[in-house]
Amino acid sequence: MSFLEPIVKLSNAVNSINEKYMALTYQEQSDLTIFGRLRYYNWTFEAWALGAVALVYATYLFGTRVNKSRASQLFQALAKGFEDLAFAKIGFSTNTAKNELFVAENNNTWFTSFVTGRACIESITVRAHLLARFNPMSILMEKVLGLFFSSLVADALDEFVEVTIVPNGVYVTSSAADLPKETNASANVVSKFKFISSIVNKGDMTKAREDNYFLSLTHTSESEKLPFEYVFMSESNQLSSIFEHYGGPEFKQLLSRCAHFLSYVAFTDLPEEKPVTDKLWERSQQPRCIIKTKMVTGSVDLASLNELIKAVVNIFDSASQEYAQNPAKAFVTNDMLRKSANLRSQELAKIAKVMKQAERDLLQEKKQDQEREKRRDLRSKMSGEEQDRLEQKMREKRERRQRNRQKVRM
Amino acid sequence: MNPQITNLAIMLIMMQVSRRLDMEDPTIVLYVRIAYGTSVALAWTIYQLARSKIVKTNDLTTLKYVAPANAMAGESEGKLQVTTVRDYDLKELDSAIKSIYTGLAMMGFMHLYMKYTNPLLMQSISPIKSALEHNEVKIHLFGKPAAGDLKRPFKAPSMFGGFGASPEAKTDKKSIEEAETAGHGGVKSE
Repeated sequence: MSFLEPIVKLSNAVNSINEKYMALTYQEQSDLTIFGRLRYYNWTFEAWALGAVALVYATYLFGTRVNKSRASQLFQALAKGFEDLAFAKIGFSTNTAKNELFVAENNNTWFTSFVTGRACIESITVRAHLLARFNPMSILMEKVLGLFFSSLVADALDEFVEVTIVPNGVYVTSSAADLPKETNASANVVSKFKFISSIVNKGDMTKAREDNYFLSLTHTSESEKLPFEYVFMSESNQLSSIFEHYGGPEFKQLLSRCAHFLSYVAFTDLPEEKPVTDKLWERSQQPRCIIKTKMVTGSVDLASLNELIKAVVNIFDSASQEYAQNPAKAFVTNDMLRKSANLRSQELAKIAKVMKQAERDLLQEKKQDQEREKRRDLRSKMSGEEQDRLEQKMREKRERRQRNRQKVRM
Repeated sequence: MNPQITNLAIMLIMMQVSRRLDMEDPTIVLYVRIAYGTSVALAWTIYQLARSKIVKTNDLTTLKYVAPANAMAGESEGKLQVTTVRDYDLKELDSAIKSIYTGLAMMGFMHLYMKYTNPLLMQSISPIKSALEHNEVKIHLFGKPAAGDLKRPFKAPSMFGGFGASPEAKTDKKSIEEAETAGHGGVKSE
């Protein structure tokens, strides 16, 4: 075949490299010493093969190291911000005395860091995903494939940082103050964050809604309260004002500075992945704030990201303080929360309906299988004559039904 | 006139022209190659000019519509698209530029590998014609207002008027509101 011609030519060329060596007779080869054979043999092909392996290894080292250095830059900058926010525990404990600031997974493409130990905030988890730079061929293939078949390509080409801030509802007046005695109080404060209110970059609107179940339940609205690069995606218009209420005008300026890397800031209690059962629905609810950005590098952008995290923590601090000390003054009123609860019960009802329908379909299928099995059993027990009679009966029944159907149509 | 009908007419005319040319003559083959290459290069330049105009204008007005369901992807309901005028325009232009690349690959295969020259001649007008008739080029290079047929989201062109046309995107308030809070996001593919 003509399209195999270049491969055949290449294979012939490779074979011809050592034509001289292969032409040696057994006796001639035996006469040569090992050193003589090594010298006589042409090692060009092997040298190229070794060179290719070395190149792959060098690319692997380069790719993983570039990713690690980028992640180090990101997490070290964020760690300074977490220290300013007075978190007791930053990073992960190890067997040695030194803490690990972050952990790397999947050949340095996924990085995770975790901080905890603070009033009002239970934890902050930072996850970063970087390109698989150690395998440039796969990046190239994905890009070319994505150009023509975008739906076939996974999100492996996305580089992003996701910061998840989880509140704990424990408010203390000072660092030396005792923890509140009422255990229910903190749970009560956390329950006040059960709503969806977010600011989404206009460049990421469709993708954010496609990737996040909670955003696909919100209305999209433009507002003068936001820089022109963003929109609100909230359950109700009233909830959109939470950012301005607690963040003040500085928050708008901060958003402007983050416009080129920020995808969204979202307060939510619902999951990113759509729950398909009521049990999953119950299990996956957790009030939190998610900040999603593109991969952030450079000291200016990292400082802006740190400021953004601080601003969100400040919102949780201020809101928790209001709920703990003066609930009547709090921005999120009971009426807003009631509306949110309504939406949740409607969504749960939708899930229950789909589940019931699926159960019914499954039952119906099972019933049909059983009937088919029963009929087969019955037929196997019958004699040949009886089987013919039954078939005749069934045929007549089918014809009668068909006739009746035709009559109805006429 | 409907662009698809004129495309058909041009194709028929070019077929007649190609029958009168000696495609074995290397000089004619060279001229046909130059004509096709120039047409593709011009079309690409027109799209790039429109692209740079879109980026410069940076119109971030929000655009919401319910895209028709894609039966090939197994969708039964339309999908809500929330985008900006800038991103919508860039997406439309990118798909047009992509079609140039696909055409180039097809013609390259037909001409260089299969050694046909006729398709090259027949395709030497349509790239530039498509570029000049593209809605984005009309809006951004010819300065036509984005109203009527040029209102976003654009209607898919149909050769026989309304008959056989692909379903249109819904832009009415009710459909958008229903799709907006339907909770179709976050569905992870298995």
